[in-house]
Amino acid sequence: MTLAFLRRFRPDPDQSEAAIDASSPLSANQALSAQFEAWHQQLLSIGGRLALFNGSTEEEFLAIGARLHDFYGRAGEIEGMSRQVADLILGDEISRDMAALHGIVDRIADYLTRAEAESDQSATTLKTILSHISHVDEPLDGFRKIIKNLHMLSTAVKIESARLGEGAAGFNTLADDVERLSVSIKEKSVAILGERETLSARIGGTLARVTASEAEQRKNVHQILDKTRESLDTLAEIHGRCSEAVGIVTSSSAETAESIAEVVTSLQFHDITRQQIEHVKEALDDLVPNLAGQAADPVKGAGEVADVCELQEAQLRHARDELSSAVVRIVENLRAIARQQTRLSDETRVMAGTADQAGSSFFADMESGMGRVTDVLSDNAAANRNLASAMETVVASVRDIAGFVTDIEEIGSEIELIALNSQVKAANTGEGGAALGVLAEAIQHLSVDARARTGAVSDTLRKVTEVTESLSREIDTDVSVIAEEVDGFIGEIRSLVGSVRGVNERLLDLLCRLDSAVQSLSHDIDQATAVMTVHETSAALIDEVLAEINGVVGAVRPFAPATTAHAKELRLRELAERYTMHSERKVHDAMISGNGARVEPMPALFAASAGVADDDGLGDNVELF
Amino acid sequence: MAKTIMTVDDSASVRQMVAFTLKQNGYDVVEAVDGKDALGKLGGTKVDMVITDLNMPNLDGIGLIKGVRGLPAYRFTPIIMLTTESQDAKKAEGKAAGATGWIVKPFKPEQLVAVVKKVLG
Repeated sequence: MTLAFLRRFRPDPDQSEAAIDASSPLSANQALSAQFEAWHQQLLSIGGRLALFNGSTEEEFLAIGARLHDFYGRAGEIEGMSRQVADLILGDEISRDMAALHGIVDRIADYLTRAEAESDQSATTLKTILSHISHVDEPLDGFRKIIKNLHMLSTAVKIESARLGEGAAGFNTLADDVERLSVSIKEKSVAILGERETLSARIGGTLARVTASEAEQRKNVHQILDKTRESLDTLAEIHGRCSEAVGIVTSSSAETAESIAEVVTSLQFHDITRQQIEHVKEALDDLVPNLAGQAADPVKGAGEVADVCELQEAQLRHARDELSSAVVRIVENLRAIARQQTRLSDETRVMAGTADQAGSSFFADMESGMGRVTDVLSDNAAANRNLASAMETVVASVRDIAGFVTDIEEIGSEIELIALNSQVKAANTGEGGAALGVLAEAIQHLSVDARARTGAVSDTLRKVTEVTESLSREIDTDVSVIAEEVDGFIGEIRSLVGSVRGVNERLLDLLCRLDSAVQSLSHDIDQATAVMTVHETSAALIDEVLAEINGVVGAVRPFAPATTAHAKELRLRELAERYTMHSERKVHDAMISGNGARVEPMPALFAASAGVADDDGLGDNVELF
Repeated sequence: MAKTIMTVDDSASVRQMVAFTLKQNGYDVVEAVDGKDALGKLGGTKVDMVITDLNMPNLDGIGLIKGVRGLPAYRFTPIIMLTTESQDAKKAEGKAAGATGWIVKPFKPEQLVAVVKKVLG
């Protein structure tokens, strides 16, 4: 039955405001008895309205109870999802990934330390090669003097041969050989110098690349390690937050349980106030027979009506206030549940590192960071391959120079042969060939000098070849080892990224569902609480009944003025014995003592423990026999 | 296996809150609207505990306790009164009839659960 229906039972205002004219010619008792019927009708009407009211609100409270069941279940699901987020971040999978990440960081650090040392070694070796090559310059400079001397000797042999005429036949051929030799030495020296300059330039370039690569690598080392350690620190921080988050979920769960408990307790006030109103109705109904027919003592009867009605006004006001207060608490606590769940969702998002609603998360950042680590490692491997390639070119250049060394050594042998040949010819020429003998001796000296210089060039270039080929072999080996190691890192990181991505996807899915569940719950709670007006409509109807009772009191009091507290107590003693509730007794006592102040409705959770002494820890309102 | 508790009250909203509280804590709940209804249902259902109001139509809480204690299967079944009545005289009457304990309304859910756990062991 709706409350609106009850409004149709309003009494006739004229009847309820039946005025009592004390200056009537009728005696006071007669005038009073004449009013009894009107008050009798008014009290019957009030009783009828209270009876109808009492049966009208239960459906609304039952509907609230049914929604509470639904909200409780959904709040539990939201808490469950928050726990799942915490479990996911604190779970074995992430711990395993963290351990793997720690391992990779250590190994990358080790790898980069080795790479750095190897890079330093390569640079040192290249500088050594450059130094060796510079030592070729001095013996090559000496070749210029030999060439010049050979040329001069060739000319001198030709002059002396012309002076001797027919007797020095064959010396012309010797002069041509010496000249040819000087040209050959010049050609070889120029070629060696050219190759030496080319080689120096190549090694210089390679050294610059190694040095640049070294600087870049050191920079990258810091970037990689800083980024990875930052990721691990963040993950550790998230772990810490998750541990706290478990506490947050527990705390939120406790707060929600408290709000639910408050609603459960407040919902019982429907039954409590129903009984209070029932007691009011019974008290008023008990007056009705006394107002029917002729009263033996109308003044006494009127006094009883006034006292009882005033008391029931107070009891009814208290019932109205308790009912209103209970519904307000229900609304407040349901809204608190929505707020608690929203806060829990926000906390969960922060815990997962996704304070923004865009869907990015810590794990996405970690995945991106690991991608950068992979890129840097790939760049490093490529730099090593480039170095190996550059070293191959250096080795090829050194081999070319080695070929010239053989030629120069052959030139030295050739000078010796020419010198020997010229000495033999000078001896055969006799005394006239003495000058030629001197020339032959000079050629002999030159051959010794040439031999020494070719040996120096040859030794230097041999050293360059050895060092270069050794470095090349090392770099070839390193490149293959590094490539394998870097491939291993990249494979592991990709696998780790896959695992992290999986966790991230599950996390985002959970957070998305959590958001949706919280929004839906908040929306439904808002809707449900917006239409909870049962306290307002009830209060309005009770106020109407209160006005009617007050009208009766106003009509009766001129015939029966208020008596002393003691007289009132005696008159209302029977009612006091019929109360079942502590609050009813308090209202009664306040009325008797003349303290008209209202008894404030007690908060539900306090009300639940009021009254009896608590000696078993179960609460003041609980007693086990 | 979950224990079964009977809630007896002429107020549907109180039965609803008692059932809600107990079910959330893993108990099965049987509802009865008054003492007479309760006695009728006890014949066909095994109940481990009874939580009853005092003032009810047809048969009140004291009458129900006496009726339950008269059933051999329920002589030692815990019976808790859940009522707005807080007078010692009424409590004494309930105790004499065979009540196990007394809770004055309104109850807090955790109180009710604590009492249930205590009396069911």
